[in-house]
Amino acid sequence: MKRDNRLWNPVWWERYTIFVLLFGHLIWVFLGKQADSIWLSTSDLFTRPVVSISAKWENWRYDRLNKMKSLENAQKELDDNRTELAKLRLERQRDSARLMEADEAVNLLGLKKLLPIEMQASRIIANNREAKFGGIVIDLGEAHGIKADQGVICAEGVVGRIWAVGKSQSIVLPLDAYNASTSVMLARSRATGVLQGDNPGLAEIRYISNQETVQNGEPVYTSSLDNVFPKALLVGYVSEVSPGPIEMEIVVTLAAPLDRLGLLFVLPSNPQLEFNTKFEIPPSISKRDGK
Amino acid sequence: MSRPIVQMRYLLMIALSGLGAMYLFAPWPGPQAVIHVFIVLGIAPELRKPLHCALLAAVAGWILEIAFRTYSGMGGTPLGNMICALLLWYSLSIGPPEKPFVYYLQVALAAVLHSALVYLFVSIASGPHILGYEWEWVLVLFPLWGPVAWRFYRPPHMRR
Repeated sequence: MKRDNRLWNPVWWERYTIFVLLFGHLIWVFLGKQADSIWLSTSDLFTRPVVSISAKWENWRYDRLNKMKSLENAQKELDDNRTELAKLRLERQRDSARLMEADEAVNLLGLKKLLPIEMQASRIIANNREAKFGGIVIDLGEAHGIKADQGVICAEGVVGRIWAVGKSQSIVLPLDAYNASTSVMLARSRATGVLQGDNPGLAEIRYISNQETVQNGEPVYTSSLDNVFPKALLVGYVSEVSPGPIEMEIVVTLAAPLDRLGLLFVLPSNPQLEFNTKFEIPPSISKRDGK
Repeated sequence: MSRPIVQMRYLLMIALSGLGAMYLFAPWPGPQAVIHVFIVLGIAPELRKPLHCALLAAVAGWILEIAFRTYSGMGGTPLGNMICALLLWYSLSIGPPEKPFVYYLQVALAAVLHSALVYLFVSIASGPHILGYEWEWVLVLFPLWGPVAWRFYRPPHMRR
């Protein structure tokens, strides 16, 4: 009995219970896999509220993250676009000068096709026309066969004549220089006179009688009397006309944009003074008439 | 070894609150693991009776596994919990530490052993699985929950 009491007292009961707990769990771990589904299904009932709350919480975080990401992406795209726009603007600025020169070259090419004379193309190096005794410096000189008093034209009209010639550069005396004189002819009245420079972009026609009828806007052409320019090259348009004491005072606005020139043509020393403007019947028409 | 009834009720209330919190923290496994280990190693051994210690550890293990709902076979966590809690209880009973450092060392070692044992038993019960980062949470936050456990433990010379 003494031995029994030793084994069946509360302390041993406690130990038995712990042993049963441990042993039961061991058996459960190794053999009790099948019963887990019951536990899980009953636990669903209790975990649902927590799961729904946590799902809402996670969704909110996910949405916020997405919003922030899309905002960041949009900001990045905007920055990229701004950079690209700035780059394009810079490129356009760089290209604008070349584009302008290309346009000018196209115009000159058209002019060259129209005029049946040999001309030398030149580029303007400096334009100090506004300075005293200034002029337009071009990149052709003695080395290129340039001589003084050769005519210089651009696509829009007459520019001036060669004034001084260096080895590889020359100075052009523009039409609006005070010491420049060119023989010109009015388009309607056919009256001839001498064009002398006045102000920038303007010139006066001298030696035209008060008897002549001159109208504003009338074109002014070269007359070829100075042996520099061929006949009928556009010089400008009459902008002011008034009768003077001895002769008519005529102000001409020059056709050539002397401030914005880039490329020029230098005419030959002794140009053909009149072009063959005789109307020729195209061969196809003449053949048809022959039939 | 026995505690006054007031202190026991106080401890039980904390344990029950911890169990509830553990259940509610199911979506956040890291903090949940910290609460779980605190109950198993910080509170269960302080109940002084081995049966109470084992019961609380087992209940904590079952609640954790039920809250997770991802185990294909359950029972591994409560078994690991009970073994660790009883070992710590035994260790604290035969040589009650007088200084916090010794206590912290024992509890930290028990926490490491607990992670390994639970991983082993859960592997047996539900098959191979990945060892999560919960044990890192437990060890990193040990300076937080260790002193609280020391406060509940109270060394023999401080007990009334």
